Amino acid sequence: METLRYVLKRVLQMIPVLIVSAIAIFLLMRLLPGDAALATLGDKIDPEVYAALREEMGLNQSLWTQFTVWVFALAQGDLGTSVIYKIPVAGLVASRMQVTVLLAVVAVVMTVVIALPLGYLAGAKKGKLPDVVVRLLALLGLAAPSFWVGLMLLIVFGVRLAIFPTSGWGKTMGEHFWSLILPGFTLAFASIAVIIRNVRSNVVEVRNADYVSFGRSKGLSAWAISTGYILRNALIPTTTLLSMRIIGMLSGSVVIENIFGLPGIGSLLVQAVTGRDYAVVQACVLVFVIITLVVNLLTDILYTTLDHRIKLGGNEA
Amino acid sequence: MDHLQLSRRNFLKGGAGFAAAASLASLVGCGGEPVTSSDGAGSGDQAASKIVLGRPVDSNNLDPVTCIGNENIFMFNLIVEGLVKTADDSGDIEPCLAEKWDVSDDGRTYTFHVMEGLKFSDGSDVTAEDWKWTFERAMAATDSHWYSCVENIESVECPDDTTVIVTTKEAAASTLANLSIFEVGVQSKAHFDEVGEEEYVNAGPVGTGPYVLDEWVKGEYMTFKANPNYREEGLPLTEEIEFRVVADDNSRVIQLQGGDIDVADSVPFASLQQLEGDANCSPQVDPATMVYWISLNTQNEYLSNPQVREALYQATDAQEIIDMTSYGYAETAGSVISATSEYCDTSIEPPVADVEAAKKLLEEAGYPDGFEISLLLRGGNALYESIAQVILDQWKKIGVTVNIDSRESTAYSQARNELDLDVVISGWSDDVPDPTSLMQFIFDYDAAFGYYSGMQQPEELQEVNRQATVELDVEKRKELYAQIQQAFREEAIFIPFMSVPWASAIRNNVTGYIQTPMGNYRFQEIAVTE
Repeated sequence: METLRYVLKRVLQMIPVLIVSAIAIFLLMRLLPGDAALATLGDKIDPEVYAALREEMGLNQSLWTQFTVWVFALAQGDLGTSVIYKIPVAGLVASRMQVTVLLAVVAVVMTVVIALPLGYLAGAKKGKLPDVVVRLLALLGLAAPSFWVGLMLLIVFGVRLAIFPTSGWGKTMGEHFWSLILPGFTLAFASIAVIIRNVRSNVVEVRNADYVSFGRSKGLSAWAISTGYILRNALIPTTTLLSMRIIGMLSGSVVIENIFGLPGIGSLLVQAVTGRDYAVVQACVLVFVIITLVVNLLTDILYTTLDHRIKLGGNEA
Repeated sequence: MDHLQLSRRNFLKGGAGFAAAASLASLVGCGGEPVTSSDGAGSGDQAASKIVLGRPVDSNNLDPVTCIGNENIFMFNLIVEGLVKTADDSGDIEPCLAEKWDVSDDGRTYTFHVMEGLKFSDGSDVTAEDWKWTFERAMAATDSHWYSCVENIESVECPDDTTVIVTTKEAAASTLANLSIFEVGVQSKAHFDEVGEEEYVNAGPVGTGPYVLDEWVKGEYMTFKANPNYREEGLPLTEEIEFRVVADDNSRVIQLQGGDIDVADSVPFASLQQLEGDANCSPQVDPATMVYWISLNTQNEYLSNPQVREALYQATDAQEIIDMTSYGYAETAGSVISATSEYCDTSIEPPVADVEAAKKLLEEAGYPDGFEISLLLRGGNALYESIAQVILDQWKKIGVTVNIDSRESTAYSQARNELDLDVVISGWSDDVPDPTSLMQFIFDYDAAFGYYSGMQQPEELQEVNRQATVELDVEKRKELYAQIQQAFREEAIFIPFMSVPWASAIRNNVTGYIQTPMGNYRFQEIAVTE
C-alpha cells in the first residue's frame, strides 16, 4: 500500500517535469536557424516555392499559435504529423521506439551477464592474475570509442566471418534479436567496463566487512556468503550506476543505430533535428524524458528489494 | 577461499547460459529469412531475383508534382515514363513513349505520336484523358519545384489515345528537354482519384515504368516489384528492388562488402578508392551534371572590387583542389555549366593558380596585406570540408585569411537564403538537360541573389539570356551562352573548379546499373548473377 502511494506520488511529480521539458524543447527547436521548409528545399531555394511550403507547413503562424496548437493536440493524445515522412508522429515514434527499447534491453542484459561475474571475479581475486586481466580488459573498454568498436565488429563478424547481418533489423522476432547482438554489444561495451570496475571495488570493500567475517565464522556456506552477503551489498551502488548507464545507452543509441542501420528512435531524432521536423523532435524528446523518469523510479523501487533498510517515501508519507 | 570456487562455478554457469542463448539465437537467425540479397536466383529464372540498394536517406514524397529532393526524384524513372527521356549517359533527348514527333513551323507546337496499346502497371489502358490530366495537373501547380519545366506550355490537347499536342507560349530550345521531367510522365488519373491528393504522396503514381511500388516502411526501406504489364517483353530483368536506408557512409560500404546490399549509393571518394582493390566490389562512377564553384558575394566590402575577385580567381588552382580531395574521381571545371552540356564553353580554362599575378592584383586594389573573409560551409560533408581547407591554403598564399564558417545543413541553407555570407561553395546539378533553369537562378535576382553573388546582372546580359532561352538554332544558342559564361569569367563572381560524378559502388556480380547524368535510376536491365 505504501509502495503504491509512493509510486503514485512520484508519477504525479513527473507532470511538472514533463511540462517544463515540453516548453523547453519547443523553444529550443525554434532557436535553431532555418526551418523544415528550408530543409526540404535543399540546394535550390526558389522564394515562391519556399513561401508556399512555409504556408503549407504552418510555419507562418506565430510562435504562440504554434505552441497552443501543439499543446492542445498533445492533451488529446495527438502528437502531430511528421513533415518529413508525412505520417502521424505517434505511429512513427512507437515503431521506432520498439527497436531502441529492444536494443537497450539486449545491451543491459549483456552488461549484467558479462560485467557482474567478471567484476566479482576481479574483486574476489584482488591483485591476482584474473584481477589484472579483467582490469586490463575494462580499461580497454573505457578507452575504445563506440563507433570504432561498432565498425570493427561489423568488419570482423559481419563482413569477414559473415555470422551476423551488417544492417537493418529483419522482419521476424528471431531476426530482430539476431541483428541486435552486435549493436547491443557495442552499446554495452563501455558500460561493461564501467560496471566491472564498480563491482570490483565494491566487492573488495564488502569482502572485508565485519558482517562477512561474522557470516563466515557462523559456518555459512561460501555460496550463501557470496550471494547473500557480498554480492547483495556490493550491488547497491552498482544499481544506481546501471540505471544511469541505461539512460546513457538511450543517447548512445543515436550513434549505434546509424552505424548498424537500425530504424530506432536515435536515428529518427538525428534526422528530425536536421530536417527541422519539430513535431517529431518534440515527441522523441518527451519520450526520452518519460523513460528517464520511469527508469529512475524503478531504480528507487529496486533499492528496497536489495536493501530492506531503505524505505520508500520516508516516514512522513 | 572456498566461496571463490563457487563463485567461479556460478560465473561459468552464467557464461554457459549466455552461450546457449547465443547459439539458440543463431538457430533462430538461420531459420529466418536468409540475409543474402539474391535469394531465388538459383532457380535459373533471372527475373525471380532481388537487388538491394543502400542509400543515405529515404524518400519522403512520391508525388511527382509536389516532391523535392534527389531521394525522391531519382525514383520516378522506375515508376513513370514520359513522351521523351534523356539518354542513359548524356543530356541527349531520346524518344520514350512517343515514338516520333512533328514540330510546327513557328516552333511552338509539338505533335507527339505515342506508341499503341500502352498499359499502366495495373493493367488499365493509357488514355488521352490520362495524358491531358497529367500535364494539366503539373501546369496548375505554380508552387511546384518543377513548375519552370512546364511554365512555357500554353495548352495540351489529346485528340486520341496516341496523340499528344503540346503548344508552348513561345518557341523555346528547351521544350523537349523540359518534357523529359518526371512530373509529366503519364500517370493514371483513375488511381489518383482513388487515393486522393494527400495519399498520393505515399502511394505514388501508377505509371508505365518498369517497376511498381510494393512496400514502403518510411525511414527504413521501400521495395519495388517488376511491372507485369511493362511495354518491353522480358524487362525488367530483376523481379524485386529494395531501397534500404543506411545513413552511415562507412556502414554502407561495409554492408556492400558483406553482401547485405548489392549497390551502395552516395559513396565518399575516399571509400571508393579503398574499394578499387576489393575482390567482390567495384566503384561505379557515372558522369553527372554537378559542378562545384565558389560564389563571391559582391556586396562584401572587399569582394565588391572586381580586381579583388580576379585576384582570388587567380589564387585558386582547380587541379590542386581535385588532386587533394577527389582521389582522381572528379574533374576540373571552368564554367558553371556542366561539361556534359553542349552549351558549356570549354574555351574557358579551369582556374590555374598564378600567385604572383594575384598578389599584384591585390596590391593594385589597395590590399597589399590582404584581408579576412569568411567561407560559408555545409558541415558534416567530408568533401566540402576538405575542399574548404585547400582553398584556405591557396588564398593564404596571397595574404587573404579565410575563416571557415561551418554550419549544420539547414542552418547553412538559412544563411544562404539571407545572403549572410562572404564566399560560399555552391553546387548545381541539372534536373533536365538544359541550362535554362540554372540561368534563371542566376539572372532572376530574387530567386537566389544571383546565385549568391549578390549581383544584379546588367540589362544587356539579361537580354542575351532571354535570347538564349528562346533561340532554336543550337549553334547560335551556344554562342549566346558562351557570351554569358565569358561575362561571368570577366566579372569573376563565380570561381568554378570541379565537376563531380555520381559516386556509387556495386558488387561485381551486378550488371546493368545505370544512373543518368540527371541522377535518375534506370533499372530496366539491372541484374545480379551468381
